[in-house]
Amino acid sequence: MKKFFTLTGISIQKLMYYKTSFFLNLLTPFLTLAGQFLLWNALYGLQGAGSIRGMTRQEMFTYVPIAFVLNNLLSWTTENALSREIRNGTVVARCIRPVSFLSQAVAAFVPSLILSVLLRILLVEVFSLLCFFTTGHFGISWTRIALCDFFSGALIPVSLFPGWLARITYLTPFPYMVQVPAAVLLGKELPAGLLQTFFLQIFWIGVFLFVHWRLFRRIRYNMNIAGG
Amino acid sequence: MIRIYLKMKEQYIKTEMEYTFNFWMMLISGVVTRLVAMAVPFVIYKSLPDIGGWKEDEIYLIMALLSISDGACSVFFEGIWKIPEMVFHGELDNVLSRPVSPLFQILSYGLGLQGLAVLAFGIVMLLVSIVRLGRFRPATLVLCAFFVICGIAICMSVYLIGNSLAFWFDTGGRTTLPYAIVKIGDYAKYPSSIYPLFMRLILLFLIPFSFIGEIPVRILRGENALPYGGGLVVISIVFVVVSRVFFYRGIRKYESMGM
Amino acid sequence: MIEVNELSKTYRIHVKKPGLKGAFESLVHSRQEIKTALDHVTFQVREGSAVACIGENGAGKSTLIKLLIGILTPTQGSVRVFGGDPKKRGQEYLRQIGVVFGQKSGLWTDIPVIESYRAVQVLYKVDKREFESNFEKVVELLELSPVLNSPPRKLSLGQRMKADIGMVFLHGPRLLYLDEPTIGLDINVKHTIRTFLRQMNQEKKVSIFLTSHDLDDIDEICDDTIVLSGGRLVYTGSLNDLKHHYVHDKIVKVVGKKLREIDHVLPNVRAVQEGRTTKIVYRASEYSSQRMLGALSTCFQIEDITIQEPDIDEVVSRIFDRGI
Repeated sequence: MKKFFTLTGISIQKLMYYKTSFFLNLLTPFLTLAGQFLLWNALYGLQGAGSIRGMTRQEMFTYVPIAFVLNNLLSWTTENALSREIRNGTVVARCIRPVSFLSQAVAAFVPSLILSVLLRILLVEVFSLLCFFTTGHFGISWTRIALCDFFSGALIPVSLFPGWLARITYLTPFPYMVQVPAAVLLGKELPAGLLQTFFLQIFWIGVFLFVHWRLFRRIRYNMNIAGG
Repeated sequence: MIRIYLKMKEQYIKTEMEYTFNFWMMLISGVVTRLVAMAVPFVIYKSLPDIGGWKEDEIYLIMALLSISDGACSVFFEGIWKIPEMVFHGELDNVLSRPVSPLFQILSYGLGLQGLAVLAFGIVMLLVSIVRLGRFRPATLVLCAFFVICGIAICMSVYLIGNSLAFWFDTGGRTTLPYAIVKIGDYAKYPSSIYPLFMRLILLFLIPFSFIGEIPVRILRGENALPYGGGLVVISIVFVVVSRVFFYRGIRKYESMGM
Repeated sequence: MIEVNELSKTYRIHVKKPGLKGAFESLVHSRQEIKTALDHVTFQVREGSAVACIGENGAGKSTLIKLLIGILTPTQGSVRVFGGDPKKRGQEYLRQIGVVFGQKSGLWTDIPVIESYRAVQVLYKVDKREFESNFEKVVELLELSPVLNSPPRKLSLGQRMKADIGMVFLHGPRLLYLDEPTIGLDINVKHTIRTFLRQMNQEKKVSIFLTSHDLDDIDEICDDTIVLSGGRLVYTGSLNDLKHHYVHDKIVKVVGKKLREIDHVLPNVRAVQEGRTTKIVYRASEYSSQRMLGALSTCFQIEDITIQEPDIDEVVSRIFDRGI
């Protein structure tokens, strides 16, 4: 446990070293949040009162900050940090530390046990591991972020999706990271029962843990051969 | 000069193509990001008939113009995004030691592959929207070419100003500042009339992305064509000049501060 | 060719405190300190010479070279190169100089070396024939053929440094600035580079101004030195003069069993034990080699013995101790 805190402390220090960067990293998501508020305010305003596909203005205004929080518990920089480390070769340092690779990633964020956040972390990590196998770091990263942002409900609530799109969305793990927990907190209905949804979240976590494990083994193996 | 600029670009593409997976991944990411951006108004329009009197295809037209500008900037001026990194690592020293304008050197650095996809996507979207809006005439296309040129100028200027801030604000070589600016500019894909005044002013005069997409579409609609057109030209020129001044001020600061 | 007068450069830097708590404090307010990089430095350099600027880390060498190139502005004093202000840095001036930064490459990243070289021809407006001849010479002397088609990323440090140095000669500069060009390189590459630079200076009369930590660089390439310490000019003159003024001692290294303490036999001698070797320092003027050898054979069961002059490290540190 102590190791986690030390690593977390170091990560926080690193983040804060560049004042401007630190404040900006904090502020930028809020700018997007403010923009969302402005947008939805305008949209609802133009509508008159009423609701859009079953979501009233109040509900939307509650959804947006929740989605925002859930979406931003992971900062963009961490994913890039791993990618950068791979390019620089300094990633070896991470592997040498006496803490499991995955745990290090977890310790780098403020630890949270909410299932959606865990899932989110796993998703990002798995994608990051893919960086070991390919050279397409930025491409992978941007694609993942775009898909994630949209299908998780961070950009726009999934409940607004037309039927066919919503059905496709719920087949993916994405909505379980933002839309579902937000809906739970809001008391809105879910596509399936509460228990079922809960199980689905665990299911996806399991999937990603498995994929992570296999990828990691492959990486270890390759590293041994290539000599780091 | 142009010759060497193009030669450099050619070199960059060749080198990028050596990493095949990365090459295709970048192109895919370009398409995916634009598709996702398009998907948001798509979903909104499923529930609302229009946004502030703007039809769905008009929004797509705005987005197309934004995509083309951004894509072109990524292809031709990607070096701008390397400025924070260069300032931080002191790599500007080499640039400044050569008998060539530093701005030119930086503009010719690098090539944003995703820009190729974004550019292509934008062009397709532009043509499709124009057809669907029933405006497919030579005159429209000529106007669009003009809009695109101004759009690229504005886009490049905003990117340059945003990245030049790295001369004054230490962000550890990361592009957080210009990124934040771009994020705000994202909202320009919706007509600025739906926003409160302060936001409208920002999107028109501070981060004038509204002039890249919205104002051109207004002109096409026939609203106040001349004043808007004039405004577009003025803003483009002003911002190009300001960005250049900004950049060179930054260089002077770099020279007095060392690394 | 180069004239520097009372040149000073100061910076303001933010001081951050260590640790997590310190990081929080720094967020709110950070102290500023004034750092003096160069303090009223004055010297001249003649055209055609090869000058080495040496000094410990942080002595101001890199700052000085940047001021000479013109990519830094002085806080006080003046710099004149070729009779003009490098700050004004017209393309005229920049075309006549070449710069190599040891830690940053001048090559364009991600494109093959040869493309960077071709770019130089266009950017520096070099006459085709002159370029070709320079190109061939550089490739031959620095053994660059295997390296030409790779981008810098794929090269080892040594290869990249050679490519960097080659690049800078392509446009036939009058004056070359090199900032720590041999840092981190292995001995073979260092030798190739040093020979090359020496040759360029002697044959083609290219003036060289280099900063280095490695005193063998100075030995093999340069005739004159400028010594900086803590931003101040501490010594300027030829290398031989340097040795004459400060090198009075000889060093003997003896490997073997000690029979007697050396300073019982010869006073005024400093002996230091380093493992099995005893290092003895003495004034060359006081004892002849013959006398020393005689004394040593009574004090040690000599297995191996070396007599040498102190290396320049010692010389320089002595200068720093003594001041001007």
